[in-house]
Amino acid sequence: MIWLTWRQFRGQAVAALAALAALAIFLVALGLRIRNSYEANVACASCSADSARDSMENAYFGILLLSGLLVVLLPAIVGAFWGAPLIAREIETGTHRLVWNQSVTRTRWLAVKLGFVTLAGTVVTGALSLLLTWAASPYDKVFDGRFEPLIFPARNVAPIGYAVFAVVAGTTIGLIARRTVLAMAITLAAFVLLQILMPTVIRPHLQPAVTETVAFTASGARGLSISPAGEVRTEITKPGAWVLTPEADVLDAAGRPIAREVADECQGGGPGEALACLEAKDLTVNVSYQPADRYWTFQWLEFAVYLLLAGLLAAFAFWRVPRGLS
Amino acid sequence: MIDFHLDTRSGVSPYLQLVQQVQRALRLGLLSVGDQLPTVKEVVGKLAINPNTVLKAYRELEHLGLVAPRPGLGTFVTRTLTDDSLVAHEPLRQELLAWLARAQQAGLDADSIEALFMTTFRKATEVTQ
Amino acid sequence: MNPVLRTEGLTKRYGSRQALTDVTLTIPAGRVVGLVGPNGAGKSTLLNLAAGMIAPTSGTIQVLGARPAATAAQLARVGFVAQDTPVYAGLSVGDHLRMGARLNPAWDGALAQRRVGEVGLDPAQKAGRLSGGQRAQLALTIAAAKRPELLIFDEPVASLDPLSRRAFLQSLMEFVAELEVSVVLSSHLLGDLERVCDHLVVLTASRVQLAGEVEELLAAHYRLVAARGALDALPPAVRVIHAEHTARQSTLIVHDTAGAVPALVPDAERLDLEDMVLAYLTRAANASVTGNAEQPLEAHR
Repeated sequence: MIWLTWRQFRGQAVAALAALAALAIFLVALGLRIRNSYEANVACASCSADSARDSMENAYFGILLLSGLLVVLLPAIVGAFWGAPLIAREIETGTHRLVWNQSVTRTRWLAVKLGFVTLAGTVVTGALSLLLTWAASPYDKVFDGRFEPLIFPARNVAPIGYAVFAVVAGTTIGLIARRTVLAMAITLAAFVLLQILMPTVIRPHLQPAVTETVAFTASGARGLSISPAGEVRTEITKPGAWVLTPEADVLDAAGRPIAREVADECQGGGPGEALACLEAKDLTVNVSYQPADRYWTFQWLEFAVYLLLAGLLAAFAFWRVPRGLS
Repeated sequence: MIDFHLDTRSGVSPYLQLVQQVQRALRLGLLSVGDQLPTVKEVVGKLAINPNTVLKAYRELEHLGLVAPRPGLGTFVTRTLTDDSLVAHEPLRQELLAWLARAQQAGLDADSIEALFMTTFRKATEVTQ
Repeated sequence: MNPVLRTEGLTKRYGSRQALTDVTLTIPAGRVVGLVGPNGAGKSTLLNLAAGMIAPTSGTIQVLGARPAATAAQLARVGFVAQDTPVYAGLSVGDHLRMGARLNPAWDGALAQRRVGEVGLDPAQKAGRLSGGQRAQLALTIAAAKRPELLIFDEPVASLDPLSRRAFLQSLMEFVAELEVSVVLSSHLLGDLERVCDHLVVLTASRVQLAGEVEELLAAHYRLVAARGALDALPPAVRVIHAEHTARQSTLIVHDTAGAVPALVPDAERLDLEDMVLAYLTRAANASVTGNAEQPLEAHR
């Protein structure tokens, strides 16, 4: 059964290996360039932090974003091109009537095919994810955006979870849809939908957030904004953490939101003076966040959520396939 | 080795056709004692008929004492029918020629003669079966 | 010997469409069984159920004494060739044989190689490039080389030219002779079935109309020709399948379930397989007109 699965998969494997090799070379080259840039601009004794940040950002923000996008989309591609046709193509061409008559139970047939393709998808995605994580690590250290919605899913183990889910989902959707192209489309759509829901609805609630009241300091706050309704808001930064309240009300000592006039008092002069003026007013901000040390917890939770979904879909497939078609 | 054929339109069951073809071959001296009949596989491979049909025909021939199976080797002819063959049939053949001449004189064409012969023959063999 | 196929009240429904209704059959071993019926009668459904490709809606089916496709051991005993003889277009003939060797413990590689050589298939040829007749031979080889006890074919020759059809049947009969395997095959082509089948099942409109040994069935069916009205009082054991009347003459095709006809009508004619089956198919076709499956439509001329 392994021989047959390999034989059917051979062409796709060769293409994937070629693409993987090309991307690996590209990422290794990128990683070396970033490290050189880091040594030259950030790690040296006479470097200025701000100009280093700007030059690195200009050089690498775009390419790392695109690479990250590729790593996030790769599971979708693998799920659609390897998972969806796995059963759907057999049913569409009728070859299931040939292979299900061989002396191997349908359960074993599904287990070998699904296991093989899931493994392949996981290896490919895992390799690229880890290469990108390695390549981008100096940049990530400088820019501290680990929890950002476009960076978190493109590093470390999260993409591996996506790959497992996408392949299993593609296979199960193919089993139900019975048409390859339709299954591919549904798989892509389902994956994209889940990738939109995850950071917005699910991920923030995977662990209870920590809520604190912090003092309004010039260094901790980044700017001030006034909403059309006259509410004064600020963005609090916490190094390495995931701030869940990007725009938080600025409160006075008693805990009430300040009026815009109070903020207006500090207008005039440069931004540094305005912030120092506000800092002197003893203001506070309530901030909800996930601490920085929870990064790996979240990575593994993300992985686990997708694995759980994959497990449910796989259980359905293993329940359905031995029963034969409709 | 005898070569079988099947006439699907003759109204005679296939196994009987095979029996009759062997008997005819024996009478005409095309098969002699010790000759091997084709294997069941060879016959069905040529005629695309059920092997049971061939087995039934060979069993009938064995029952008639004409052939005998040798395990592992095949089915072989044990007796010919040429003893009471062409010599004995000569008077019959002469009678047949005379009848054919009379039929032609009566104005029957070849098709009519054949039709007359076949229907009479069938009716007669049905009754005696 | 155990029957190769046994069903009880087997029913299969697709949504609102009834594919098989209450089919109860016992098919003995060692036969070549013909399954005949019009399109949509349920032949494919029955064969796919026997091969375990689909599951029944209700009723039971047992193949070689076990549930179809239940275990690897059961699968090894049944060879199935589906309609349109599916093969992996991207795999070569040799690859298909390798697949058979790896997926079947009882695979007879020598038999498979010999067969492929005898029918002139090139092992390196991609299966997608084979002609219909060659694909049928390949599918037959794959099904037979695992040395099953039962071979099931769903209209294996329907789309083949006459030469390929004859070649397929020759090959099939050679396998039957060599492997002593039971066969169930469905076909429209009554001439072919007449050559190879010794057991018959007639299926129309999802129901079994007739089932039994060909010899016994042919011995129990007659064509009765008599003056109009002379045969109106036949006993109920003599079932009229098809009737044609002119002003003066009636021709009835009857199924004599009790052996009563020779006494009633001494010179009754026997039918050949084709005529017998056609009578049942005609009755079923007319039933879809009159709405009554058991009532023969009387044709008046």
